[in-house]
Amino acid sequence: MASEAAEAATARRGLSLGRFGSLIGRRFRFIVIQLAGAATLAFFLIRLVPGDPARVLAGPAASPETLAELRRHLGLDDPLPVQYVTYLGNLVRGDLGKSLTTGQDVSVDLWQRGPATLELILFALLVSLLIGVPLGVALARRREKRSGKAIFGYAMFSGSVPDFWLALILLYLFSFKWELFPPPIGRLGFESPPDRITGMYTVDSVLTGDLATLWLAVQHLALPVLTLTLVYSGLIVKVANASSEQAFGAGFVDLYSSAGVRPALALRRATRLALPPVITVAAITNGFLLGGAVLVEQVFAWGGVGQYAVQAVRGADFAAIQGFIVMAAFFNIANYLIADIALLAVDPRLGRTES
Amino acid sequence: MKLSKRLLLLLLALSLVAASCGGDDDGAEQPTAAPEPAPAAESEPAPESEPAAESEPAAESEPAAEPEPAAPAADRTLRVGVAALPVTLDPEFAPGQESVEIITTVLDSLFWFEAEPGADGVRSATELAKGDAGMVPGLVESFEVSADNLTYTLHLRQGVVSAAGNEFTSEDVRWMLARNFGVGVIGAFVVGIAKIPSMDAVRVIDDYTVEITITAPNPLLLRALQLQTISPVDSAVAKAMATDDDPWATEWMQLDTMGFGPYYVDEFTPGVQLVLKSNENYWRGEPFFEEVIYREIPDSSQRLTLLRQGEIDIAENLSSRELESLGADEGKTVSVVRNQVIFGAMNTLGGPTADAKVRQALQYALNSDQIVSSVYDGNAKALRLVAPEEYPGYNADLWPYPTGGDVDTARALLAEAGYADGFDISLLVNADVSDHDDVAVLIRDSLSQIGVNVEIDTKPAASYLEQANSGDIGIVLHQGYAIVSEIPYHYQLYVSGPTGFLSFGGFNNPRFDEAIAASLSVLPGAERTALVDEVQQILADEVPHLSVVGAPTRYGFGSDIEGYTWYPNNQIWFYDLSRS
Repeated sequence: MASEAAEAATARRGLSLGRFGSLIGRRFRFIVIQLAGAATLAFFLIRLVPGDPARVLAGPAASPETLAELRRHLGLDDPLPVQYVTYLGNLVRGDLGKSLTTGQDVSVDLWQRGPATLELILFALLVSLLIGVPLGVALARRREKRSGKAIFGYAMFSGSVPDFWLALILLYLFSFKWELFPPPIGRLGFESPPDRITGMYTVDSVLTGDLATLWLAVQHLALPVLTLTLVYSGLIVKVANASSEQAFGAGFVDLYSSAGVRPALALRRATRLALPPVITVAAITNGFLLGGAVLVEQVFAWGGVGQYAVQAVRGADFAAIQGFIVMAAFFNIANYLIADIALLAVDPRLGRTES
Repeated sequence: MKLSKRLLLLLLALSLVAASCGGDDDGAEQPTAAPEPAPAAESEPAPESEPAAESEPAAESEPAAEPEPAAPAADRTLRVGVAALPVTLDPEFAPGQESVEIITTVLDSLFWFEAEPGADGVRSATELAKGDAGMVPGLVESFEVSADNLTYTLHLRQGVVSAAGNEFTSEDVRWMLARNFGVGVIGAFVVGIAKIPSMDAVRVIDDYTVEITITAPNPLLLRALQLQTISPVDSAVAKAMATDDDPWATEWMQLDTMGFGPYYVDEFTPGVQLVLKSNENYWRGEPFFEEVIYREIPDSSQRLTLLRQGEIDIAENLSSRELESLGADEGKTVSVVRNQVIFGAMNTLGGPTADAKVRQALQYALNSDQIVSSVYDGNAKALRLVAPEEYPGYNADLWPYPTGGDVDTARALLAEAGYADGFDISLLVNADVSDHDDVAVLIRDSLSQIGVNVEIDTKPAASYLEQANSGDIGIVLHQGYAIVSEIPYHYQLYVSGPTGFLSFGGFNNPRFDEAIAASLSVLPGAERTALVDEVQQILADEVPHLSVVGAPTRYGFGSDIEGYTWYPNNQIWFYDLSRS
């Protein structure tokens, strides 16, 4: 009897590991197609918008000959299909082209700035989950109480506020008026960053044991993270609320309680049941956060890829915009892949139905 | 149940506590810059900067800010908040103002500007009114001119050393001039202004003497030689960075540079920050600020706030409204109206404005005075003749249009031209230039009085320039200054269709262009005055552009920053500045 159960457990584990493998394998096939799609869209959409990179680079005082020369140099006078093929070919080799606004390879730019944005987004997601999930669960229990109404109000408010506006208001109050937080000069003010390991200052300062920098980095993160959290945690509250309502209302919870099963076990089981939608919404929120970071970074002079993207759009910097979009696509694909793996881990039924 | 609720409350409380704790301590740590400098000195925009030394014609123009070692505690780091960092440090490709500001402080120039307090008390280059006579030696210590005004022998200053430790010699001058011809983007244009036809006209006599032969007498040669495209880089460093594919080291100069100026580039992270360090070998003496941190803070309201908090010392690119809101105890505003003009280039080739009468009518209708008072709070000047009034040869008597507008005359002219009922026209506006949205609204108001219905079309810089140059325009609102303050040159750049890169409206009047070309090869005198008058008369008759206002060059400065001097390139030369 006992050995039978153990065997079944082993078989199940083996099976699910195999499922992870096959999921990732299947995804990889799509990743190429998805990235190519994003790259193509980026390429053509940018070129629909007026703006001439050669003119931006050469400046207003450039003569027509200079402009023509620059266009040739930048490959802008090639027919569009030729430019497109060149672009895709370079992309396959990992060459995202050269940014006009920084003079560096776009891949170098993104590599330098990516960690800044990633750090911001991950902290915002973490705090959003820490606040959003408990609030959502509480809302399920307290809908009619005053506290429940307050939470509901928060969930409605959040998500309906423009992020850059909220950022300005928070800055005005917390930084300028009350001086509780540092002013919006990037990630460390004028201090020099810790040695780069991951590029995320909080992580790097922990790894190098530089607690003063860690503290500074956390202080600078506080307001942008708070902004993003206030704007993007509403969705998490709503989904956590709906799924926990459903889970706690499930028949087995009543059965457990009438059968005298420990309430803690019922809570654990119900939580597990409520988790999948929360994981999904976390992934979606993470995607939104990247979008939100674009404007919030601008306000806080964050120096991440969001600020880079805005600068690129203003300067008609085609390579940089394309690079940002491809990177964002890659980020989202990775994001959903991680979410799917997490879903598979918490909900073994998923694997079975897929086979 | 109870437990989970308590847990939730605890979590919430924790997160709130964490947030507010973080704040408290931070508040205590903040005062990096002087917290409350005595508000005594800053009310005037630095009129005290001693003009004593300048009265002598002596070569060394001692910049205002002498380093004062008496204040050891003073913060020797200058923090500057800008909207965008330089796109490139290569003067050949440097269109942006930020590029020019950094390059001029890193690459010392062959000539420099004599400066004295202007009528508004702000120390300013006299070049605007004096032309080449307002130039003083820089890296060129002295020069001789041949009798035919064509051959200039430049004697270079000896003992000048770059931050890299290399001595300045003729080779640096030669290499940079050769680079102007070799790369040929902005440099080609600048050697054109200087009238240097090719490198054959440049002869190195010895290590400290260079001879240049120009094609015609040139009233603006010294100023052309001052421009940053010609200002020498440390050629020893540049050559080491050059490759076979890139003989002029353009790759290197995009992100780094090295010259003989007061600062060198210590660190440059494009889009984030640029750090300049002082050149201890600098020939005028080491600057007051040992370090200049040039930081990108994209949002203008944040730059203003940071200035107020004392986090930054200089905020650039603030709008009029933002600067006006700066309290006397929060910093000081520097605002000088010198060579920047705002004009509306009208389509002279098509549409109703192809008719000169219509253009005259629009100029009559325009109320510039209202723009000066409403948009700029008086910190601007009504513009006439599309040019700054300080230019020598500027003749306002030739301009009949009242700056407060004359609607009746405008209506009559419009009716004469057959547009008694007015017409629709677009006004293209660059979204990236402060205050232009407000200026555009007032232009629309003025023109609506005579039935001309203006549709404002605001575009970001890249698409603005593309459309402005496309020819498919109504009116293009533009702001700029000529890099050489010379009236014919100004018109050649901004008005003449065939030669002007920034004229937009396609104004083509052969006599106008001939008179300009002729005056650019005549040294100051009666002949030149007659030619310049003729140019201005054509301008008044034909009105290719609406003369809108003379715009201010403006900054928000920390209360303790002294020594600002205005130069024709409208950039701050960090060497001038000190902290009181």
